[in-house]
Amino acid sequence: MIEIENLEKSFGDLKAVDGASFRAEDGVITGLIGHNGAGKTTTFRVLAGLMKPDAGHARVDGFDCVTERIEAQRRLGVLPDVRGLYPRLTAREHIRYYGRLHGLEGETLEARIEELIQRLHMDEFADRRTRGFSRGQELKVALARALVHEPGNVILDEPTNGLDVPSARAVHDLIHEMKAAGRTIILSSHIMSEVSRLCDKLVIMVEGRVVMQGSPAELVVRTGHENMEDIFIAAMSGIERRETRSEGREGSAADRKTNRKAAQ
Amino acid sequence: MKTTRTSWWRLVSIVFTKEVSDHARDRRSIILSLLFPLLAPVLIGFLLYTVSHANVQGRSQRVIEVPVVGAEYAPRLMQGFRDKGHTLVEMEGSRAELRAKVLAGHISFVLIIPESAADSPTYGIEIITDRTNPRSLADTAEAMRHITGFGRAEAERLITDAGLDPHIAVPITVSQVNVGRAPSQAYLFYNMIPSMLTFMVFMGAVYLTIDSSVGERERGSLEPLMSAPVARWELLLGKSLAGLLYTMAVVAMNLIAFRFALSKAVEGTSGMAPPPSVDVYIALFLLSIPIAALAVGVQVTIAAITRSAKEAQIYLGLLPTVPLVPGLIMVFNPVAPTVGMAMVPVYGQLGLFLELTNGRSLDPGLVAVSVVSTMIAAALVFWLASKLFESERMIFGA
Repeated sequence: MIEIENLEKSFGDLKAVDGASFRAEDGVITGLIGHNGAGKTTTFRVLAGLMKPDAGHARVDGFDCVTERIEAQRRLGVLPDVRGLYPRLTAREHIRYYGRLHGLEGETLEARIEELIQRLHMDEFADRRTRGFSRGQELKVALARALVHEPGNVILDEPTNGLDVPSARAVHDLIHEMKAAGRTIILSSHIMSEVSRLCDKLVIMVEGRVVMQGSPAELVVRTGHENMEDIFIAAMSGIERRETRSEGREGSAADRKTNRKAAQ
Repeated sequence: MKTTRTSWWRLVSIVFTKEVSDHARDRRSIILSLLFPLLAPVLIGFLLYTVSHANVQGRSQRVIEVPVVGAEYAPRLMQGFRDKGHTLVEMEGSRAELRAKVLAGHISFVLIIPESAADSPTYGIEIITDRTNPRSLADTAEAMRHITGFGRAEAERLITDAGLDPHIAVPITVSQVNVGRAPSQAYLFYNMIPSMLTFMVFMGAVYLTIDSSVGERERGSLEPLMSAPVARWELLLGKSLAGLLYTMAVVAMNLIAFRFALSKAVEGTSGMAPPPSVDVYIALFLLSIPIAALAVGVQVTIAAITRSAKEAQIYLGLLPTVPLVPGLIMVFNPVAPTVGMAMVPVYGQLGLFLELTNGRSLDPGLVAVSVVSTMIAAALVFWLASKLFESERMIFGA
């Protein structure tokens, strides 16, 4: 289980995450959605133990991501938005390296590597160095690297970005399998059809705040929209209407948009 | 899947192995790493070869042409030149013409013997030479050696003929007892080993350090790596040990090249001091390990605070010149190592290195002080680097 509680994180004057709170349960796929600069990636980075929050808490299976970072990281698999591969290592070596860092060794590790290679259709390039890989191939390597230790909690930032249809379907199947196995999954995606198809729960972030959360059915009732894109736009415009009303006290919506661009 | 927390040394060895094998595949940087340490030994070896073989020629009686005016007034002096194989060339012309010929390099010098030499046992010889011309200088020196020797023999003969003790001409004689090594120009070259070696210590792992720190950040691979359950100091130690291994490989390459180049340079010469023995090279290698640890720590620290790999390359490219400058000064002004000197990392080692290349034995106390102080400095720098590795700036830049 992943818990975010009153999380705050600023970069200079820019508040990237502003008191966000939500919970991702075991066996549930939680979609964290929002525009660019909404604070999703910063939230993921706090969860991954890469950033310390200014206030609030992030926990993985009850372990605090700051004070018990290593324990939280052991229970987490992260697919970051920047895949970050080593160009001189093969795909297989990437998975092996991360498997070993997570404490796997020997036949157990090799069997797990082989399983991921088969599951993600990586046979053709598994033993090739990653220099010159397509975006889809890079994503598969990064995904396999994140899942090698079969983590109980998984963060997937744009998990199908750049994949062809069969590969995207394979990833979707994998996500469903992880859900069936009772794992906690948080994914972020700009593909609304993917979000509506995969997610059991949605958390919509706007300018560092969680403005709406609930199951897709609940959000349909609350916004009066059935389409995921419309729900997202409704959530965003709700915030902007509030900001327009409070203009003069906290700065205009235009100012916030400028900040948002700076954050990107 | 059930995973267990791996021991720190196991994690360090996993990171170390990955860094070593990853960089071993970077063919271009490996070739450069292997070639770069050869440059100084080849250059210094070539210079030593040139000097030592010029000296061999000098000792084996260089035969010169002796341009002379008035040879007939000093027949015994002239015969001495002929006896030593030199060729006399009778010159004519005015002084101005002779000076012009020397200045133009047509002749190295010219001896002008006065007419009075025919009638008197004491006379003065004028030599027109060009001290800015190396050939002229060398030939003049050779002629001077002969004339001075002849003059000394003449003095003894005259004193003996007068019935006096020939020693009266040199009432005080001095004999030196050298307790040190025999003086040799070769030591000037051997003393360049310490500064060049220290330069290589600070150059050896530059590429690996940049690539595995700021390079990882630029590539985006630091983010997933630091999401793994590994303490930052464990990552840093694994990467630093890989840097240390590469540095010591470069140092070994450099010392092997020095051993080969310097031995070849003085081969067949008898007057030059022998090059450092294998024992000296082994001692140099072992004493380099603490500085290499410090160097890698400094490199990682600098790379961690720079904003880009390009910026890191500039700083780390300049870093080796810091120990190079005192090292080169010490070639010409060797300083005997003291406790105070040994306590200063790098500087202390330079002093110890010079003792070794000069053929002197090391004081174990000074070695201990030097090793301990450098390891303390390396530990402090490593601690600082580990703090930087903890920062968000390290992962995401400024």
